[in-house]
Amino acid sequence: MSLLKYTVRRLLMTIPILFGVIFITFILSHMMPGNPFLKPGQFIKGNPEYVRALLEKHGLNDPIIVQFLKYLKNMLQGDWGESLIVSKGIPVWDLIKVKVPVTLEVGIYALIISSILGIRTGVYSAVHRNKPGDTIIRTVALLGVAMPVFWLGILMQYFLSIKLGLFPTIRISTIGYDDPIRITSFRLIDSLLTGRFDLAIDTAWHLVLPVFALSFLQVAGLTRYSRSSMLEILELDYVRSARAKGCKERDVINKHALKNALIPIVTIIGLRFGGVIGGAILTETTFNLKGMGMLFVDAVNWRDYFVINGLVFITTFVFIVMVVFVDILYAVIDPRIRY
Amino acid sequence: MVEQKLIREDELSLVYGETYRPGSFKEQLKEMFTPKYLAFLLKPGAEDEELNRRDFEMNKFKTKRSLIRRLNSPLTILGGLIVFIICSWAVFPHWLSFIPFKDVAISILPGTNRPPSFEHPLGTAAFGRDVLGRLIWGARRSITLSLASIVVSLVGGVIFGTIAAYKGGWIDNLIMRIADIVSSIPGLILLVIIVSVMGYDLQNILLALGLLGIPGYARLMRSAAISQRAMTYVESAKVSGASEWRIMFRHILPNSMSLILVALSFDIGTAILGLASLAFLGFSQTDAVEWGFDVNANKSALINAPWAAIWPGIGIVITVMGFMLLGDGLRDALDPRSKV
Amino acid sequence: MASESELKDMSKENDLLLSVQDLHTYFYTEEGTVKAVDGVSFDIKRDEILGLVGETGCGKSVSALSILKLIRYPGKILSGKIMFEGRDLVPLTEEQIRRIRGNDITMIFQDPLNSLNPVLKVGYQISEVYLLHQRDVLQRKLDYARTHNTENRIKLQKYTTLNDYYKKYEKKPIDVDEIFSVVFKNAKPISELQESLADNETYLAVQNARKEFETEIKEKIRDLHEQVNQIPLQDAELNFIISKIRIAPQKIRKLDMKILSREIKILIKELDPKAIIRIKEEQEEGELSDLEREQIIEELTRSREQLHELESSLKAFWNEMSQYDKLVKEADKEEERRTKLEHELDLFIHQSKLRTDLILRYMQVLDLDEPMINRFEKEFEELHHTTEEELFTRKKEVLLNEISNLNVIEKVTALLNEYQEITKLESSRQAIQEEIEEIRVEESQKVLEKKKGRAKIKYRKLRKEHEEVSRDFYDKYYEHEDVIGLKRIGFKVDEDDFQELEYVLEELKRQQTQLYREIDALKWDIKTEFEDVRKVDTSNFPPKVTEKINQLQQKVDSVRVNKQRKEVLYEQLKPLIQYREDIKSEIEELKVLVRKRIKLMDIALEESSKIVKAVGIADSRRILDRYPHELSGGMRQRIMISMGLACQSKLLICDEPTTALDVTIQAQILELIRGLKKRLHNSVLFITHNLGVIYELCDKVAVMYAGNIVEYGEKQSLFDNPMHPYTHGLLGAIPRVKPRDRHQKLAIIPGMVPNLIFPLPGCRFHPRCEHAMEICRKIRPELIKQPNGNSVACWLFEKDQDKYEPGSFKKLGDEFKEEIV
Repeated sequence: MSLLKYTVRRLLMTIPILFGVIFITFILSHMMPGNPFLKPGQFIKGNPEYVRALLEKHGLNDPIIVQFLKYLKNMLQGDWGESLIVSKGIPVWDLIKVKVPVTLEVGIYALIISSILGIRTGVYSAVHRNKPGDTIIRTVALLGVAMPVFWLGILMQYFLSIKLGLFPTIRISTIGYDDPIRITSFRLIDSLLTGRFDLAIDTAWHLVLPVFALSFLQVAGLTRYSRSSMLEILELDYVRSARAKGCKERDVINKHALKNALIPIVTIIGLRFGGVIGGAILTETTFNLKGMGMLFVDAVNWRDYFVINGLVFITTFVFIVMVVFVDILYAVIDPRIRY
Repeated sequence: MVEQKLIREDELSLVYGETYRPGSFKEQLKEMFTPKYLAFLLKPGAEDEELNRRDFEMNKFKTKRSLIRRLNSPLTILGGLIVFIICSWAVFPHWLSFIPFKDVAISILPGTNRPPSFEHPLGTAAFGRDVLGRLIWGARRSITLSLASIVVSLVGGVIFGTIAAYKGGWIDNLIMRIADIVSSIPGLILLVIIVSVMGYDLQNILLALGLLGIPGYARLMRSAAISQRAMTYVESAKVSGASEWRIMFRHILPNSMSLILVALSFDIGTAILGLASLAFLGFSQTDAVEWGFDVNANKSALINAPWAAIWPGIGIVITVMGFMLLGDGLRDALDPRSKV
Repeated sequence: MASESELKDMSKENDLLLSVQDLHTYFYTEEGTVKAVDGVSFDIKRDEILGLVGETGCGKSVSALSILKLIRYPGKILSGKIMFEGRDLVPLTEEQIRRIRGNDITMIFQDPLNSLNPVLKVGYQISEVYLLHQRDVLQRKLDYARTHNTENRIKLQKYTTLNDYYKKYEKKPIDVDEIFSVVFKNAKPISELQESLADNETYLAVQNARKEFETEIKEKIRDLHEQVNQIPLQDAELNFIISKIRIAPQKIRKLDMKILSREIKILIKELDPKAIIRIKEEQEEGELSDLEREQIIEELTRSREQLHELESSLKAFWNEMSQYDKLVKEADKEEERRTKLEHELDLFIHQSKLRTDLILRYMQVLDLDEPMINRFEKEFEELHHTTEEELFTRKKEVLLNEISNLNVIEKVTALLNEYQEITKLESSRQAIQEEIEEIRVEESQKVLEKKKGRAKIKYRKLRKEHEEVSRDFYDKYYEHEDVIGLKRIGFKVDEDDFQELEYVLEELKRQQTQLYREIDALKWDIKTEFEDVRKVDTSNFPPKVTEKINQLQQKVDSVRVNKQRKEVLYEQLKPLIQYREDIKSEIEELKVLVRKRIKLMDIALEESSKIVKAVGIADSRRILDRYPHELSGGMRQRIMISMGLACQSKLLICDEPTTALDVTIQAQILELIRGLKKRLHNSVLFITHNLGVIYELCDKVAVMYAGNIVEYGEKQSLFDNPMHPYTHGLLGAIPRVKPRDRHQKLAIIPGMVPNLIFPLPGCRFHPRCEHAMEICRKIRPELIKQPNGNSVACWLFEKDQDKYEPGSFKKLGDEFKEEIV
């Protein structure tokens, strides 16, 4: 079947999965003990009657199925509910609109840096196999993969920020700086576009530590993966033929071997792009950036149902769409796969 | 007619008279304790012409030798050593650390956030608790939880995977769909939700971690089983009258195990990291001795007492690294063609 | 190290292309040191095919890879010499050997699927060879193509101006006065340009100087080449060198010079008299006399002086080359200037001619007689070159009078106008007809819609009826069945009622089938009849519509188009109109050609398509666009061969190219290699384990076993008279086809492939040899030449048995028997 049909079919297949995800998150979030207005272990503020009335008002006393169907119906119409306790009264969709760019900013910068760097180091490591450079890179990569992000963040906070005072510890802007006009809602890009270079520098200064922490982990993983992929390719016969033709070593690696090795690597990078929203929870809590991760943790703690559902849905949606996209990409760039 | 003469392998010694023949047991023992031989045995990468040749001739057909020899690489030994130390911390913390449990976990002692000294080699954290002590006692929770959750994931994954692969049809489809749904929600998010639902007890966290790992193993097992299923030995087992269960569990399973074994060693590291992340975010018991929890709790005191937050993290890193090195070595030993 | 005598020796065997001497390649693995190639020597002359035979793992591929230095970690070439065209390849750097790979020596591999990069197109992979090694040749071709393209661009310019010009004068009558004034304006620049092109002393002077210098340089290069390489330089090679020097950038020339002078410096250093004296003393095992020492020193100093001279003459030569360079640059500049002037002149003339050309065409249209048109042409030509105003005005008046007398302009303009009017009428008529057609189609569609609607309603009604009838039918049917069942059991049933039941059943069935048929017919109608617009009866349209159609039809009828007149006019105006059409098509073609900016890659692809055709693949252009996995095995192998031949390499190494292919394709590939060798006169090193292929293809054969060559020589004598026991075994192990040979048993060489990490001392083959002797397991035999021309490495052929210990040549069998007993 043609590529278009395949794409459409795959996208259609994601719909039942998405439905399953919404269903499961809904059920699970409502199964959490407590409710937004009364966490277990909390002292009762006011009478239980008041709490029940509040629940009634927001439709949280109906049977689960009814609630679910109502939620589904509203969701399809664009109304994802409103936050009950974390940011009282603000619609979930607006919350997402505000918080997602913060997460995306850190995530995407880290992803871009780590993709380029990771592939380069992996290739270098594969080409100079078993030499001192390779051993160093492998050790560092292993360390990077074994590190928890928050620990690396804390380490950097301590040494670079507290001891040496080079970078700020938390937040994305020092107090007193205002926000640039929203064009892309990416703080750095917006400030550059509106010409506010002081803001841009300040944002960049704040972003260095979180982006570094996040990308270090990703670079480590990508280095290991591209190293093994590249090693496999470098043994193959056509690399030897390219050398026998008289190609320069540089061309053999970049034009012949890398093109082949890049195919699985690109798919991995694509999947990482899909998981960018959900992948920054730990970084955000360490550096106190007001993004999706922190919102999620707070929402779960306070049982803010609609926020939880909305966040999980959008994260999963982006991821699943990216998976389909990556599959199609794989078929496009590998000429051996043709529909 | 010319006589065709075959020199068989065991006749080589008659012809040459110089092949090495091991003497009696005593002689062998005596030989083993010469410095030359010991050096040859223990130093990784030691080579001696004569001993090499003898070694080679003696063990020509023993494949076991290659497995152990490959496990001889220094990094793998380091990994094994680390794992051994951490596991011993987990199993015998009261012997290795001279601080009783209550002092580390429950009691509130004076001397909060003291710098490293002779009494407290790594300093103290909040409530006067010794950092080194918490490090050693914390190993227990990490190791047991991660290992146990891996077992849960593995068992569940293997069962579901093999069933899905062998039965095929709608069962296969259903299992794979559920696996898709579970794996499309990012891991940490799902973990947080499940743990919130079930409560912060030890066994619940264990179960949650385990459940999350099932789809991965199920898929792995299924793909391995499908590729094995087509092989002829399954057909021959069928021909000789084996029932379905027997085929699945006694023929297919052992051959797919090598793939799983390698994934296992890396997953232990991931589980430990996941556990630590959970504790860091605050979704575990506040009175537990857990490395990730420590990092979070002492984060606020970073300016005054960095050792309190940094050392538990180092513990995590080293443990995970140890398991990964072991996993790398195992993979090289079992499948020498794969390169890392 | 090449002393003078050795250089002379090499010149005698100047057809020796490759000489491998005592090559050792080891692999340092975890298990141990694998001695894959342990002392291998063979030679390949020009225009010769050498076959390398042996079992798997005997080291043939490794020796081939060592030639091109493709051995990577953990392997290493330990020692030995590989002399290619007199140059040792072993100490070369990566940069130097890279220039040989693919260029002078190429290699094709066993498995073509894995030897071609799966993500790159085949055409790219082949053109890569060209881009790497023949960049200068391609550059020259590119320049040529681009200048050709510039010519196209200029042509396009001319044609477009022509087109615009004619278009302008189609609509209004031309003004002959205006035309002539422009002609006068252009006359001056034309004459000026022609003058400046006529006397160009500098141009001729520069060209002459360049030619003279070139002949001098050629002589010098010839001399130098003979001095350094001791072989005469052929003309083609000389021209190639000259062209290379012209085009290759300064950098490459400097590098060559550095390499040459470095080599000479090394040679000079090595001519150390003390070292040579020492070596000679060791050789002759005694001290040399003073006289001999002096002789040696004298010789060496002479050689050293000669080499110094050589070096200085080379330096002088390169300096002169820079002089040559300058001359060439000047000549090129002059050339450029001249071509520019020529182009300008051309354009001016063209612009001038445009004007008068139109008038001439008008005359052609009116079919004036030939000599008159020629006369006008000549007069116009003169007019172009008249620069004096008086003369020009006079000529102009004369011509104007003549043209107005002939009424050329008016007549042709009238014809043109008529033609245009007729075409206008035609097009308007066509437009109205199209309108009528549209209205018709619309209306019939409306009618069809209505019919369809009605049919659908009827269809629905029929279906409902059908359903009811069916329901009744089935009710009765089951009743009927029940009754029959009861009857069978034995119940008594009223026969009349039963009959009635059956009758009713039949009636219902009939109704059902009838309804079904109607429904079917209706469906068919809806599908076909009511879709076809043509089947609608046009007379049933509403009155308004028919009125409109009639109106339009009247209009159409009123417009009369005189088709015959149009044709006549077209015939007459053909020169003008046809010429315009031709120009238009020409412009389209040129636009396509000009838009393409030719790149080096395009030229390389063209070259690759040529070589792919030479290898026997038809439709080369399309094949170049494919990926390797889309081609069959034989084709892939052909493409690999074409990659090998792209630079007309002198040595082609084939590493089991046919092992992975079918027998028929194998034959084709072998035929291909043979044919190419005939045409290109290259040498081939053919590695295989199939003796039949060796017999087919090769001139010389080398048999390898466990990293050593055991037998080596001419093919025919080897096959007729195999000397080494291993060769015996190999030849005996070929399955026989001819019936009379079939009764002979297949010879089996007992035992397994030897261990290369701990090779047994002595001859590698002796555990499996039936003639093994005592000495065979102690000392390794060397390759010794035998009287019949072949060489063999076996103690069986040792003449001088007394040189060795007594009892060395006793067969091992006897000793073995003794021990047993």
